[in-house]
Amino acid sequence: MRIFKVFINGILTANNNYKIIIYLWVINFLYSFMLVVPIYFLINMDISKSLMGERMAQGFDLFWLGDFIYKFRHISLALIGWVIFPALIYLLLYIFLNGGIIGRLSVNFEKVNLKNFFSDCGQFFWRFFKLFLISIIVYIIFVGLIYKIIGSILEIFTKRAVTEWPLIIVSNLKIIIFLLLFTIINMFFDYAKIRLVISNSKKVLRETLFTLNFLRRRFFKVWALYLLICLLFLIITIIYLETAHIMPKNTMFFIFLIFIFQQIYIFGRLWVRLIFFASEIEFYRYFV
Amino acid sequence: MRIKIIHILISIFLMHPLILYSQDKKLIDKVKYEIWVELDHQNRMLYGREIISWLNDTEDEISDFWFHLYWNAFKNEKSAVLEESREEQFYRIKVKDGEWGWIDVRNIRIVDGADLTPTIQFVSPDEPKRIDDQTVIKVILPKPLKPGEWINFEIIFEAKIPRTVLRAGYYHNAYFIAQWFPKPGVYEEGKGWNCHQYHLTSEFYADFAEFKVHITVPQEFVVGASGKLISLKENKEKGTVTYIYWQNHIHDFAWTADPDYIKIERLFIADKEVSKEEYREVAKILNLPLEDIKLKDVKMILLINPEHKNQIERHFKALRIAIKYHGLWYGPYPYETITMVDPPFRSRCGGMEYPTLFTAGTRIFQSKKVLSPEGVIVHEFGHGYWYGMCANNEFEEAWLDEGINTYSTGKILAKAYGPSSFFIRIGGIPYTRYIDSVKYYDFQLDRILGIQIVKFDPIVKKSWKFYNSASYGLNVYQRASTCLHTLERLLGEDIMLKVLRTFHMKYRFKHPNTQDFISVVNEVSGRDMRWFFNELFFKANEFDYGVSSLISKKIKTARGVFDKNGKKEEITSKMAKEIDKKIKEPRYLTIVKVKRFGEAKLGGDVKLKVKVVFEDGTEEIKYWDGKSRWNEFRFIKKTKAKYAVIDPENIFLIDSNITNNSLKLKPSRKGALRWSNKVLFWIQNFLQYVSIFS
Repeated sequence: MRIFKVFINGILTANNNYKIIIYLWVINFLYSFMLVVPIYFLINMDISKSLMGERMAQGFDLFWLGDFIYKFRHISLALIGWVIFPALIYLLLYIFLNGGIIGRLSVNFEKVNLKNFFSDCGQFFWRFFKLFLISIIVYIIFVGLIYKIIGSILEIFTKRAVTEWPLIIVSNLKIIIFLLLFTIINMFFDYAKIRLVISNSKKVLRETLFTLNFLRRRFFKVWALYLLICLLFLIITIIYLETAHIMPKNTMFFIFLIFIFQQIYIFGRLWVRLIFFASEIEFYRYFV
Repeated sequence: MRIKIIHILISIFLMHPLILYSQDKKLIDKVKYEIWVELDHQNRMLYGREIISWLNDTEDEISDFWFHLYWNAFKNEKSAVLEESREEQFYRIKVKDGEWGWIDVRNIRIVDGADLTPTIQFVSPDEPKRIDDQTVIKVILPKPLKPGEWINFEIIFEAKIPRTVLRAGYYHNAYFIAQWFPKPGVYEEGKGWNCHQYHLTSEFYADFAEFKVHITVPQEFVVGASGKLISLKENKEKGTVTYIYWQNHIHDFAWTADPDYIKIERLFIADKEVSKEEYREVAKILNLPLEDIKLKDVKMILLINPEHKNQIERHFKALRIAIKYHGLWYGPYPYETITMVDPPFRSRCGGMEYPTLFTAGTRIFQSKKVLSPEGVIVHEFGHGYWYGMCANNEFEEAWLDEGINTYSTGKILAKAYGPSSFFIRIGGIPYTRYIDSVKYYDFQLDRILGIQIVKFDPIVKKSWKFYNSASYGLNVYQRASTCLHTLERLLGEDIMLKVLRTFHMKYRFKHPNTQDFISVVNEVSGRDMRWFFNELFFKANEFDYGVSSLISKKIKTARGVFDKNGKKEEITSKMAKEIDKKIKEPRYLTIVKVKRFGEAKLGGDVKLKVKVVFEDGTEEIKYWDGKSRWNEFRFIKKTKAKYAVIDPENIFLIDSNITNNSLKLKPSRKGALRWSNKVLFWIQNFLQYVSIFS
């Protein structure tokens, strides 16, 4: 089966299930919005009645940044908590949502609605949660430990370096190795989830091991498909960054315009996420 | 004083015929060194002999003599540097096994006189006592040295070169040799020896001297050193080369050797670098004759690593800019040479200044939009002007060098290059894309850092007594620089330039202190600015003034009982409303309350400007001396106030909360919306990245 065809089919499947993107966007937006409201009030309370607010509207300025850092220096730990705790909750939420995403994409002929989406979320939550626990161990072993071992081996070349070159080469190699290892593990657990849904099995460990066998036989094809979708994500991101870079942002109209543009980008990200699963399901179905 | 000078001059001729006038007839170096040193590359050793001639130019009789032995800081973990490092939160240095360094005085004697070696004692003059520190020794003289007398010491020493952890040492084949020879402390009349131990967060203090140094290294080494190379002798049998460097009016001598250096020499041609118009402009500001402004040609020597070869032009351009602006603004560069060293990889000696030699520092990949290595070149060269020539005691008042130099670096970079850009470095490669739209000047960055540290320490404090290395660094560099920018805004840019020029030229080749700087500020500006230094340099006080309240209301007819023509007349609510309706041009009462939120307060003749802008575009300006906790200003105008602002020109850059300097009547949510929107987007993306693990 040609990878590119799977990729195109994945895009089509994702488009057909656009409602999932809407659900995910609403959840992502509302969740983030809840987190940003206190920040809005904090900034607004501090700056809305000051001329500094005008400078802030004009763009980044080291004067207001300095004032903020000084005033809020005592709550830096709280800010770290404010970032980490909601992130963990969101992770749990996504473990739940993955059931709906994969569940719906795997039955492409049925129309997506809230009921069947959330029903799938509930149905697969515990299986996916167990899989998540396994994945954490695997991430630690592979991305953490193996990366560290490879890093230490590579450091032999940098330890006695007499110029910066070995350091540059090794640090870039480490970044590449990290990214490649990460994509492999991430892809593996995507297929493990797909297998759990399609086989409707509750034996998480067994299905995970079967997935290993599935991937082993056609690893480079699967990986190529994964990297192709990564490339799509990269292209979307660059388009967003280049456009946002040149957009003015200092009037209410442009603030609104950039808001819309940012949300389109988030939509794009969620669309890519669906393409990952849709293409992987298509690929998996073809071989199983 | 005159008698004292004559005494000294007679002594020079009668007692020490070898020491003649220095090149500059107005100035005589009170110390003369002749050092012979050989580098043993195999064993990482230095073997040295030095003749030190020292003049007692005080009225005191001196019975002992103190020397720095800086490299004993790397001898063991009992040294002040390494103990302080272990007690430190942010600045840890660790010497690995087998990489220790030390210096031993094998023999010290008075030339043609007594052997002082048996009298050597280690001393630890600083608190807290670190009695095992061996970075200062003293010897007892057989008879006290009288005022005006010279003494000549001959010292035989050997030193194990440390693997560089702090400024000096080796890595691979590269050597950076600084603070390496037994060096007398500074004798202060009536006070005794000022000879501090080597501390983690402090730099140095020494007398001006004439140096003649014979450096012998294996022939494959490329050498750079303070001063100018006066001769070179090859010893083919031993496979060594001896370089002889000479320089007067400097207080330290550093050198470097590495077979891989590429050595390039260029000339700074003053007439080519500075236009007549530029000379005239500066002469006019400083009110000096053109001949006092004229710069001299300087030989620029660059020792650069091969992997940075493509940055040779960047290095020279930055150095030319540094020589030009320091020279034009603060005084012509007086030496014939300047050596700029691109520190070898991992040598940990980058960004450090020595007289007529400094280390810069760069990376293989550098963005053209970022002022690196330019910033470090201008900064380290600048040290040659402040600590180098106005040789303050960096142990005790580091700001006088670091603060002024941070300020002057920012001024020169802004003038020559404009603002810099932010960047991030991933895998050794700098990226500015998407963040290069944010430009900044050094003074803005200095302010951000300088205001964070206010409550820990004052700026003027002994270097090793700061709360921690962060407090030391942020106070003496960034906070001091921000205060100097504030001073510039208070006095005016031209007056500030005159202040620094006067300070530099008055104290060139002397040892000024903070009080000297304050005196120059007062003298040049014609104002009493002692309060400024008392509040901002000698106290750890926050400077924060702001507008605390703004009320602007229509003046309504007052209700109640009033005496009118001997009768009591009541104005009721209804009557008051009707009277108000008939008023065609209502009046508004505006009350502005300004407050001193911080402990630091204004003094002298300085007043804070308070500007109130009204809806019809008119403005009212008032001034407040800022001494009380708060003050209020009242205005009756035809329109409401729009906003009130204290210090509208941001003269007080050191104000730690500029946001509260202004207060508007109607809030504007645009700024909060723009940045909340941005944060919302960042959070949305962050959460999506987190969800990858689900």
